[in-house]
Amino acid sequence: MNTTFEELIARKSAARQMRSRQTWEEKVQLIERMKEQLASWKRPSKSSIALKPQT
Amino acid sequence: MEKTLEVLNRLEATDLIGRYAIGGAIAAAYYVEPTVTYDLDVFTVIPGASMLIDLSPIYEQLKAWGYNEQGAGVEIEGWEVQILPPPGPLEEAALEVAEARNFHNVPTRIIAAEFLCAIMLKTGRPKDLIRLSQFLEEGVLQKSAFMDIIDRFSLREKWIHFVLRHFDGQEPAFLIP
Repeated sequence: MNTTFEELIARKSAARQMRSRQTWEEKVQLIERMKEQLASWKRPSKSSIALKPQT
Repeated sequence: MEKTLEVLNRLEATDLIGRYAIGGAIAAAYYVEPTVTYDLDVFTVIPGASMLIDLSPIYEQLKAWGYNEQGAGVEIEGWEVQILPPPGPLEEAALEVAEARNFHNVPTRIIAAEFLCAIMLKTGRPKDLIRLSQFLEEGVLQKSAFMDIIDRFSLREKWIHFVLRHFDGQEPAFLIP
């Protein structure tokens, strides 16, 4: 599907306006979901990304 | 979050805290597009507090109810609640006129949009100024009420600086001129 940059911006702006018009309860629910998602995106620790010596 | 608010209402009924109101990102979410946050900022007067504010009786009561300290606050029903005595006259005034709201039928209070924005302007951290821009872009502030607060709490200079920097000197949108 081809989308121009302007269309993309307009779509993002419409989505933003929709989120702004939601009720407080709906918005807090969205924040709670965002918190859960972010909690699962843990940065890998240094030890887990360190290169293991070739044997 | 309704369970968290029920605990706060219970705490208010003990008189360990005075009138409380929600500030920060959760209050902002009432008015504008929500942004992620991990904590629930609660402004409240601590009865009998002088220059030194002791939050330990509040923390002890919450601990007795099964809620323990976490980070800079107390974990209450999935939210890290930060209990913040108003640091100055602006926040005290904001707390006095905080608006009653229901969250899933649980009564609570939130800081009014104009006061919330004045506090953001005063605090001036990058994230506060981004959020203030958001309020202005979405046009949710009442101009006369906001400018009255700006003048009452000597924030005019900060406001001019903010408008010059973030709105190229053009007056931003308000709900009512």
